[in-house]
Amino acid sequence: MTLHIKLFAVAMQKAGTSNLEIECSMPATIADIKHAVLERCPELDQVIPHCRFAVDDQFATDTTIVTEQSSLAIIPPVSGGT
Amino acid sequence: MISITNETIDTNVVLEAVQDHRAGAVVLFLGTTRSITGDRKTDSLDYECYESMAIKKLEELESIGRQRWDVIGVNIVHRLGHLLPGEASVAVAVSSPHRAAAFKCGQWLIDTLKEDVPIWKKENWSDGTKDWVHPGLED
Repeated sequence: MTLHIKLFAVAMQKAGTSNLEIECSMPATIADIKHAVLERCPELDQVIPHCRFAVDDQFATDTTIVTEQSSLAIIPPVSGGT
Repeated sequence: MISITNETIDTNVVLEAVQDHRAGAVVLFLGTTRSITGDRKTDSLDYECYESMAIKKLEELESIGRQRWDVIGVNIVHRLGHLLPGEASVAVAVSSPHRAAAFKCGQWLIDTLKEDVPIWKKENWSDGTKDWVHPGLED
């Protein structure tokens, strides 16, 4: 099925979009999603290893299960604050 | 309380929210935008966030801070948008009956914010180039 992933900062810049569409069979884990993201958008290969993924506004791990309703985002290392 | 704003941070307003007659200490931290990083000069910075998650993470930080330290008021304000050098991008204010708790809680809040709250900044360098800042991720 088609999933939408929010991109920010350098991930958005490299992918050229803030809303990446990927195809992934369900059920899927974050590890599966990462694989699908890199297939869809190889420009992110240097970035993804440094990023965390968020599912429903919480940090996820490679084994986190994604459902059709999940809200997904790629979180590059943060630099807010000062 | 926590907030994310596109407006200039007014430190008086930030402080008023944590002042309390039970408090013997009020600590205010301001993160201000630097004009010099290493040997490079910054003209301006742009901050963006993943708003729904940033709000949840900031609320979590306040909640954990309140569990760990004996504090009365907590106020975290983060600015977004276009900032010039010298402006405050973030303010953390904490009040407590005794000063140690306010200092410790305030330091933990800003340190953890800089790890876990999805807010990013882009440096607009004086030579015309622009870079997103991502600790640990070099181009």
